[in-house]
Amino acid sequence: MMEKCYDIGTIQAFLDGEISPDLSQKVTRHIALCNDCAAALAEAEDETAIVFSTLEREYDTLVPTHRLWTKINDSIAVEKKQSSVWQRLLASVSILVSNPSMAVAAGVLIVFGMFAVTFSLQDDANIPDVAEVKTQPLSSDFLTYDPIDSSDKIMPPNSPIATPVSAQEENQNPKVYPAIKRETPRQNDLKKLVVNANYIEDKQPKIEDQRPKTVYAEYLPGEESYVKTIANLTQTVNRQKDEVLRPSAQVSFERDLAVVNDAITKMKREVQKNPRNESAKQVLYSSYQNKIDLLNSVAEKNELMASLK
Amino acid sequence: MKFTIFIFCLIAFQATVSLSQNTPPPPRPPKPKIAEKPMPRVKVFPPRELMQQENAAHTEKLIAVDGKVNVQLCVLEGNLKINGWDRNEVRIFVKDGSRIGFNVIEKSKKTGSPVWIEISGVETTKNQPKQSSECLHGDEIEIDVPRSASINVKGQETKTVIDSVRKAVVKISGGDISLRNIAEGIVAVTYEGDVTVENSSGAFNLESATGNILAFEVSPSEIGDIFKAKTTNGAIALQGLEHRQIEVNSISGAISFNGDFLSGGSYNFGTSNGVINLTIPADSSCKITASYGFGGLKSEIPINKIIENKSPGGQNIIGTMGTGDATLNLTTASGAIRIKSKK
Repeated sequence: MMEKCYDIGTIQAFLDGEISPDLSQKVTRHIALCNDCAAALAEAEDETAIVFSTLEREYDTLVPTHRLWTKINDSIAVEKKQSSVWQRLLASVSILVSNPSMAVAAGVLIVFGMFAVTFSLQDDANIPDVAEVKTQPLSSDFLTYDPIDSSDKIMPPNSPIATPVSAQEENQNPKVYPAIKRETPRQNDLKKLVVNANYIEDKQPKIEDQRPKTVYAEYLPGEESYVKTIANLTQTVNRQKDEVLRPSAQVSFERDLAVVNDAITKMKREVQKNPRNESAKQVLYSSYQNKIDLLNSVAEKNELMASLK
Repeated sequence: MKFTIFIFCLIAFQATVSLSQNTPPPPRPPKPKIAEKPMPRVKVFPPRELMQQENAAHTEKLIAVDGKVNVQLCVLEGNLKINGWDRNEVRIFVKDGSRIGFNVIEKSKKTGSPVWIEISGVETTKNQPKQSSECLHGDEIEIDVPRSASINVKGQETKTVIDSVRKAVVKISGGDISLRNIAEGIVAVTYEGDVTVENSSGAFNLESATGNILAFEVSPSEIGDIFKAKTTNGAIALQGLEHRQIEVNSISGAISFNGDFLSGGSYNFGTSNGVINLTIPADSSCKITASYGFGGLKSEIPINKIIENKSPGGQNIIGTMGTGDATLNLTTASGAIRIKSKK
C-alpha cells in the first residue's frame, strides 16, 4: 500500500536534514516508490543547487556584506557624534597613563616641556624690541612708529615673522608703518583650535564611498577564466607594448584588438539575448581565445627580445 | 798681490760656475706622428678540427661535427641562409659583420664529435671570458650544416632561409622566414614578416603577427603530426597539405585551403573577421560544423544539413558531405565561409 505523498515543505526539510531520523527513513522509503515525490525531490535538489551555487560566491569572497558595512559605519558615526573632542582626548590620555612606562615617559616630557617653555620665555624677555634691532639709521618719522601695544600684537614689517620688505621700498616709504594687524603664530594656533572644535563630521567623505564595491558579473561557464586571463595579459601588454612594438605594429595591434573586441561584444550580446544559442557561445569563446593569442604574441615578443639582449 | 788674488778668485768662481751647470741636453727629436691604425686581429690558431680563414671584412670558420648535430645560434641582423650539405661539418661565413665562435656544448660519447654546438658572434678562447652580446650580425650570414642537422635560430631583424635540414626552429622578432625541404618538422615564428614553407614534412607550428603564412606540399612525417598556423591580420594560404590534423586561425586575415580532406582527419579553421575559402574535391567526405555568427556560408558542394540555425548572431550549420569521414569545423564571428569544388 502506497503511503500518502509528502508535501514540498517536508521534502525540503528532508533535503536539508531538518527532520527526525524516523521520518527521514519513512520519506526515503516513500520516495523510492513514488515517482511524483522523487520528481519533487529532484526539483528541490536542483533549486538548492542553484541557490548554493549563487551563495557560494558570497561565501568564498570573504568580503563583509553590505549590511555589516552599514552597521559598522553607523556605529562609528554615532560614537563620533556622541563623544566630544575633550572626551576623546581624555580617553586617549587615560589609555596612555594606564601604561606605567608611558606614564613615566609622559611625565618626563611634561617636565622637559615646562623647562623649555620657561627657558624660551626668559629668552624672549632678553630679546630687545624688534624695532630696535634695525641696523639702519632711523629717521625721526620712523621713530614715530609705536608698536608698543603688545595686546594688539602689531608687528613692524621687518620683524622675523613679517613679510620681507626690500630696503628700497623702505627708503621710499620711510614713514609710519601702517597699523596692519598681523596674526602671530599663537593666534594662528588658537584659530586652528577653534576650527578643529567646530569641525563638522559631515564634511568628511563618507567611508562607504571609499569602500571598494564588489560587482558580480554574470559569466557563462568557463567565461570567467577567459576574462581573468585577458585582464592579466592586458596589464602586462600595456606595460610592454610601447617598448616592444614599433608604431606601425602598434597600429595594427590596436586594429586587431578592436576587431576582436567588436566580435566579443557582438557575440556576448547575442548570448545574453539567447543563452541557449550554442553557436554564438562557440564563436564567443573562439573570439576570447583570439584575443588571448593576440595579447600573448606581444608578451612572447617581449620575451624573445629580452633573451637576445 | 791683490791682482793675483783677484785673478785667483775669478778663476775659482768661473770653475765653480762651470761645475755647477750641467751640460744642456740635446734637443729631443720630435715624436713621429703615426696615424692610429686599428689593432691587428690576433690570429688564434684553432684546434685541429677547426680551420679558419678571415680577413678584415669577411669571416669564415668550419668545424667537424656529428651528422645529427644540433646547431643553435642567434642573429641580430642580416640575411641568414642555412643550407644542408653532405659533409659532417658546419661551415659559417659572415660578410661584413661579427666574428665567429663555436661553442661545443655536447659531444658524442661514441665518436667524440660535437652533437650540439652554439655559433656565437664572438671568438671564445679558454682565457677569454664570454662577452655579453653573442649574437651574429652581418650583411650575409651563410651556414652549411649536415642534412640531418637540427637548427635552432633566434633573431631580431633577420631574413631567414633554411633549406634541406632535418628540423628547424626559428623565432625572430621581424623578418621573413622561408623554409624548404625540412624533413622532421618546423616551428617558425615571426612577429613582423611572412612565413613560407615548401616541400617539408613533420609537425608544423607557423605563426606570424602581421604577415602571411604560405604552405605548399607539406605532409606529416609521423602519425599524429599536427599542422598549426596562426596569424593576426595576414592571410593564410595552404595547398597540398597531407596532415590529418589541421588547426588554422586568423583574426582579420583570410584563410585559403586547397586540398583534400583525408579520412579520419580533423580540420579546424577559424577567424574573427576574415574569410574562409575552402577548395576541396566535389566528392569530399566530412562532417561539417560551421558557426558563423554574423557572417555567411556558401557551398558549391551540397551539404546534408542536420541542424541549421539562422538566428542572426548565432548562425550555424551541422551537416555532412558524402559519408562524413573527416571532421570539418569552421568558426567565424563576422567573416564569410565559402566552399568551392575543385576542378
